[in-house]
Amino acid sequence: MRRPATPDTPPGTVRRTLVVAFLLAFLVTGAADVEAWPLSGWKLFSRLRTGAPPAWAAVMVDHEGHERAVPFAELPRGYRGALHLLPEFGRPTPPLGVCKTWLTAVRREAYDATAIRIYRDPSRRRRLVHQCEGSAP
Amino acid sequence: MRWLFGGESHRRMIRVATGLTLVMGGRIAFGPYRHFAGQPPELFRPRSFLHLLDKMPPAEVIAAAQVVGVIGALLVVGGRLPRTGFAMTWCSLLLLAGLRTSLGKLLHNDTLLLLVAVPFLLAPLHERPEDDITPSRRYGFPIRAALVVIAGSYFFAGVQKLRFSGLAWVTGDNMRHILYDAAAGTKAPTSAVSLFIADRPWLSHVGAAAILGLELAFPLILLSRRLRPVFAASAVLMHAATWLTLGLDYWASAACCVVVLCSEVGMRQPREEALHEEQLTRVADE
Repeated sequence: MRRPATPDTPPGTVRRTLVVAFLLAFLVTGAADVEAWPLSGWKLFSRLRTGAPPAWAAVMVDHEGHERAVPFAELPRGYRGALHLLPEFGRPTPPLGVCKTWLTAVRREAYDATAIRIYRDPSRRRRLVHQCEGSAP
Repeated sequence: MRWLFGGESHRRMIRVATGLTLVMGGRIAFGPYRHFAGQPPELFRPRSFLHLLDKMPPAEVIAAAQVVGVIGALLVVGGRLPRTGFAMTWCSLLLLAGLRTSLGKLLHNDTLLLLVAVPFLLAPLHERPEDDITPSRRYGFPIRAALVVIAGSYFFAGVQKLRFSGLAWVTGDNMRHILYDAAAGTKAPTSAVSLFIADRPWLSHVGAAAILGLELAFPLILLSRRLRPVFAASAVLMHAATWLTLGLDYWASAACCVVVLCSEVGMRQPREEALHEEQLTRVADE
């Protein structure tokens, strides 16, 4: 612990500069909608929700060919961001390993799954974008 | 700029720094971070500085970061090496919250807390002046910069709603869809509150207007000290309602508002300073 040199000495130039620089970065990222985590554009629920169905869906296929949604909420925490990875399957180089990882995970949770299918526009013009399969362990 | 580097008491600075440390320490100790270990590398989506990592760290590393953060918090609360302790806690939370937001979705759960704490990394927390209740320019900037961050974060959140959605965010069915989606999910502790509001369009509009109005009005905390506890209570109410209806954990932001905006509650000030502040508040309120 230390006593200050004089009671009302203002902060030094370096401290002042760093504080101002930090606040400028905070204000610029906020105003310009830039995401540089933890600096943020603060887009919290900023897009209108219209009740439109989700644009992507991941379903697992059992041995009888029946489809049901992949139960991401029942998988370990590390898999919970899965719904935000689905749009990556629309890219020219889709993340093929992700699908295999999900298939392994749902099997580990004792689900009957022979394949996982990724669909685009699942409730309208459903289009199969990707499928990964493998024999049961 | 003069306002930013104006005077606050050492006692108040320490009170806010200790409060923020307790909140950060709580998040570090009780957060779900160790469950992230074992995530397959294919699912890891690092943000900003976490691009230095190619996968989620093992459980041992995550646990070590939690231990470092808690030890840092104990140092601050115990008054021993408070600057070092504060930096340890902040760095720990930065890493752990960064890992959390690398699961796929960009998360804001700890963002406000992390940003509000940044100015305190530069604060002279290690000093012990004889007179700790007289405002000094030496101790004012962390609190005032924190106020700017709180005001700005809520204000920008409101501005982005207007920018991307316009007034339809309030006048349309937006809020009802948000609540119906939440009620269909499993995150919220109950779906009864979401459905109660969503089934009443007028109540959904009132709720949306209250949220947007509160966010856009937040910069008033920079002008009026008297309004700060009111905004803190409103923020707590908003985040509690968000948890109850959507199941989203914004408790760190709520706690952050209470710590910073209520830091003067019950605090004695020298008579001259109190009079001066009263005059300033009166002018600002007018």
